[in-house]
Amino acid sequence: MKLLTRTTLYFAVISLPVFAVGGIILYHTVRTVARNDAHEKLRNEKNMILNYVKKHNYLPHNSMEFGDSVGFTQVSFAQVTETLKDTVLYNFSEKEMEQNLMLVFRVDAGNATYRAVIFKPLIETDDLTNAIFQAMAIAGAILLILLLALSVIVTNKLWGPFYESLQKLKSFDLNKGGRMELSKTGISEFNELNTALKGMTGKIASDYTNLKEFTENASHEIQTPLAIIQSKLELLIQSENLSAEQMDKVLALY
Amino acid sequence: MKILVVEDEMAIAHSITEYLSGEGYSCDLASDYMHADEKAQLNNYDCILLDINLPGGSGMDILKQLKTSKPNAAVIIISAKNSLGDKITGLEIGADDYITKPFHLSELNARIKSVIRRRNFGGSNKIIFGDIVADLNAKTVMVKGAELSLTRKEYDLLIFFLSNQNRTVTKEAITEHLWGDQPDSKSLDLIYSHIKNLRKKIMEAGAGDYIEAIYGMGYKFREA
Repeated sequence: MKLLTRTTLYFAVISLPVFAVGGIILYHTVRTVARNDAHEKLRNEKNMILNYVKKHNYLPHNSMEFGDSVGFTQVSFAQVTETLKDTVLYNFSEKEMEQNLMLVFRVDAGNATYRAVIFKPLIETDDLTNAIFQAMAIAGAILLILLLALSVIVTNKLWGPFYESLQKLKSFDLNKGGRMELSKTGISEFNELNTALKGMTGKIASDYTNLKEFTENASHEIQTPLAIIQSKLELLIQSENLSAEQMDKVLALY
Repeated sequence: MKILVVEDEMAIAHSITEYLSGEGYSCDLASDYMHADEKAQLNNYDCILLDINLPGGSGMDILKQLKTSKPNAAVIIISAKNSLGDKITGLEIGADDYITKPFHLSELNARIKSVIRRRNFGGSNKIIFGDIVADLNAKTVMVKGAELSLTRKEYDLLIFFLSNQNRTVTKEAITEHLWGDQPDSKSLDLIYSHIKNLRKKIMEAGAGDYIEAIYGMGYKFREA
């Protein structure tokens, strides 16, 4: 596997959990923010209603002007404590159950005590999950494409000198002079690599030459006396007046 | 035929001249660069045996000068340097052949003859021995006017014998000549069968038995 394929793969593998964790954090953050927001709106509405009641001393006729759904029920005193809680309501237009935040509080108007209830729909979990998943998927895809594009650029530009050196190293041949011509690159690591390669191949070439010369000289030193012996023996063989015993010895030497 | 032997090892030089004198060559000897250069420039030799490592200079330089002043001189390089580089340079500069030490004198002799024959390419290039006529240009052998059908190895063997007439040629020298490597038991067997076939063919053609086996040593090609 190529170096860049592997790094790209690693990046992709690492970015996957990052996106997952990011998605979860985002999900909770958005939910909390939305919830706080809904809570704030509910309190505002409550204050507006209380102000209205304080001013007019009767319940507002058109509750719609204060919020989505406000309901009042007359109750006897002490039954109502202010509560904020989650609830599920059936939405008729969408025909499904919806998450809502519900604020219950006491309203005193005239001589009666009322239990006021305001609902505020929250962002649906499904919708939020989908939205975040989509956003993360798109961001991930874009990142991956950028990563691939980057790897192509990096291969061609950054690692160019490295591949060039590699090519030259592959075609390095001691019998063809044994010298490596490596150009200077703008990257200090590659320069170091090239210097090391040059030093190493230079050393190999000079060692090889020395060894070659040594074996040639050794071969000369050994072969010269051998050549003398062999030629003399061959002349001896040509002579006719050797005894069989002498000939045997000459032959053993030859 | 005049031959210049350029060799700084006197023992080898004398062996060579002794062997070659027996072949009817007149030999000159030079043992260092200066003498070799001088003799090569002053005289006309049929063949020069040239050692590369000489006191006072390299045989390669003599070869270079020789090729400009006397391009017709045949040169055989003798060297102990068993390096491919030397061999290639030598042959590129213009040497006709290259032989490394240690060598068999019979092999050297055969190569000298081959080189000289190649030089005299214009004339008829035939070796006549008894009833045998070997035409080296056509690579045919006639015995009493009839062509002898020989395999390549048999032909090479016969020419090697013809180049070393009346000499004892060892089996090792024959092996190295035919196969170019050190002899082993297999190649010695092969030689035996090649010689048997060659002798049979020559005798069936009506000539005498020229190949004499020298016990334990080799063979001698001589008049029957």
